[in-house]
Amino acid sequence: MSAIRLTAPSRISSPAPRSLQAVSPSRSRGFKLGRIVLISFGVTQIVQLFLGLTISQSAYDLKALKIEKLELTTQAQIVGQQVDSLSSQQNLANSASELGMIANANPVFLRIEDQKVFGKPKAALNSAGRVSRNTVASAALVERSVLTGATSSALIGNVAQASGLGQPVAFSTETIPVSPTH
Amino acid sequence: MQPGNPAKRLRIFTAIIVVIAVFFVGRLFQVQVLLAADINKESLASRSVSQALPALRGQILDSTGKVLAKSVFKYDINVAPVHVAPIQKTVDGVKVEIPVSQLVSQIAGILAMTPEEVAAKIAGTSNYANIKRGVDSKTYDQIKKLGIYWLYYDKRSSRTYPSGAVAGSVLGFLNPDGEPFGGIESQYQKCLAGKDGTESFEKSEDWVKIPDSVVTTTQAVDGRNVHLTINADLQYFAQQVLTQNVAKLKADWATAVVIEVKTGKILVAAEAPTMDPNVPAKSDSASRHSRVFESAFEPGSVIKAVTAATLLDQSKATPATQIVAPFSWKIPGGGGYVVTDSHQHPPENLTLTGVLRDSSNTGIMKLGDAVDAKTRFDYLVKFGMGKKTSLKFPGEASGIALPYEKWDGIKKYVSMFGQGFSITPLQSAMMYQTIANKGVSLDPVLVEGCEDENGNLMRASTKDGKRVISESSAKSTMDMLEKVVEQGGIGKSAAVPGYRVAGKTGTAQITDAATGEYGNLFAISFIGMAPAEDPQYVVAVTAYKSRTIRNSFGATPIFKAVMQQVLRTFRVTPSTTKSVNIPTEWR
Repeated sequence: MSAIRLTAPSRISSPAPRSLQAVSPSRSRGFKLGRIVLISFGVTQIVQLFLGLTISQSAYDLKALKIEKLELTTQAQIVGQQVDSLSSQQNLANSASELGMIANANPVFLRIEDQKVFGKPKAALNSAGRVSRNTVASAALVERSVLTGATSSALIGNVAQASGLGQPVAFSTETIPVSPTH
Repeated sequence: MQPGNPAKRLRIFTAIIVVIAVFFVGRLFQVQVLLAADINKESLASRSVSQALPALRGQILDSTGKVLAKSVFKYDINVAPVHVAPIQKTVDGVKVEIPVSQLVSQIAGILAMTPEEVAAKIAGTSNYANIKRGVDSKTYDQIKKLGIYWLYYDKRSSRTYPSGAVAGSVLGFLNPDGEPFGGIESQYQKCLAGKDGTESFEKSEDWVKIPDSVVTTTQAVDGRNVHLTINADLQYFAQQVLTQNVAKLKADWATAVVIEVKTGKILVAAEAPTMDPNVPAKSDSASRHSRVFESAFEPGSVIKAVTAATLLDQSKATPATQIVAPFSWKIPGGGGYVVTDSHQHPPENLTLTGVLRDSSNTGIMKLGDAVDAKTRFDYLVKFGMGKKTSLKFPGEASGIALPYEKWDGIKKYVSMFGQGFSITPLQSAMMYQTIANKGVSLDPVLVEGCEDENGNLMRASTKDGKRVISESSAKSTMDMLEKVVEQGGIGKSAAVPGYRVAGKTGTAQITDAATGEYGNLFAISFIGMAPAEDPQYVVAVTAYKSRTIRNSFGATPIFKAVMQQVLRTFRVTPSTTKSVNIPTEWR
């Protein structure tokens, strides 16, 4: 938009020459101060704008982090449920039963202070002592151990070769199944 | 000279500018000054968000710190039916459209529903419908990964019991509204319940919190943890044994209580059948309650130990006091009522110890007659009959015990062998705790305490024990009960190899609700303590309405298995001494 002249153009006769005057030092300082103020104001505004942008961006970063936190919380809960299931008594009992484990009905105690042994050790070969499958319900059981490697019959067969105390027991040469929970 | 009137044009133009400027200034004044308050209020209302900060409920832990109950988040899967449409996905770089029918099949497969069920839920034009409530995190994660934009999720706090039915009826459960029902959940609501917080802030259109906006936050206060005295592994073991034996005995139910003698702590309060608090609706109503605390029944011959202890404490008998025990005996003043022993036999020359060994009803009545009814009643009350324990467990029963003044001629005698009044499995276990604890009765303890805000355990206060019988009377009673296990026909089956065990059998008649008379089913029990020379644990076992074995032979294997496991768990050293030599018969 072009500037509007608010005054009527005057027929200008050649103006009277004005004598040159030197600008006074105080007026010069005034201009300088004004420029400094203007520049400072401009810089402040730019800095404020920059800070505002940063803070706004941080707000979005915060939102993204919160979403990530929610995701991780969900994952932590999923893993937690798996750990609870695998470490539950129900899963352990089922796993022990599947592996053909036999409860030791004849524990022998060693008193360390005087190295005294209480009881007579006996191999736990009685299949009546076989660990029972779980009978205690749990709807929270979402995961079960997957047993691979040596089968239960192979384990029982090898242990049954032991003929009594003092004789070496022939253990299976197959690897013992690695616990899925490590 | 210039055409027109420039000055006039200038004045008109100036006037237009001024009018526009005045209009803007006026409007500015109206918005910024006159309507400022209302506009600010409206703006704040649309920007402000207030949301609840959910608090987590406290955990319930066993004596070793194992978590028996905890809060997790579950999710409601919702849909906006009006927005249901096929979705676009990029598969191997190619954009494909997945039809609604395929999405329905995928959703149904994850949620364990039929496609028809899911299709019915998503049909319509509403903005909201629920497909499934309370799915776990894994299911929620699988559904979310489908990337279906018209599905929405509500997160809510829910309770889970990682060990399932282990101590289920002791824990109680929460209903779908999060209100506690029964058990520790109910009794310790004040400790367990958290307090939700609130947060208010201003949001942008894309739901980002505006920095420097006013934020008012009331912090959520999580609930505090409760620690039980129950040992979860022992509890599980006992429940396994009970479940197997309930099936074998074809009994209605069975309980096993383990008490730590010197502290009164309840280490096991097991029963079968019981409830999985994760799905309480799957259990029958009776299993949603704890029979250990709430079921009272006539205890039968296990009470003979209390009668014997009373005789000793009153100096009316010694373990060697002699009696002739017939097979049947007509109760004096009983209107001709005849009591018999459990099996036919000729008159036997028994001592008090022998009476306990053989569980002779006639023998205990003839000996017990030396103590008057009031004194015997007072002793039974001191042992815990007829009153609730200090636990105040929700629904706990006190048992039924008529005051001795109302005892008729029959009850005066049959009470000596546990008829005519009822007690709970816990009450009977605590009676034996008293005998095992040198005659000092302790309050049972189920809860160690509740944590404070900093996670420090604030232990529940305990009272001093009360002396019920003298230490020597308790010792003599223990010696006699040891003979039950050493020599008793049924008691021998309760022996635990390597340990001295004292205990008593019980085969209690049960009143038929229909006829009011005793029926032909029994509550079979065995209560024992080990090691007898310095008792550490009481194990009290009952099988109610056992149908395949109708005497304590059905209870002793359960007792033996549980007591063995208890002694093994706590590494109790096997006995090295022998029992006292007490005569059980005389010539």
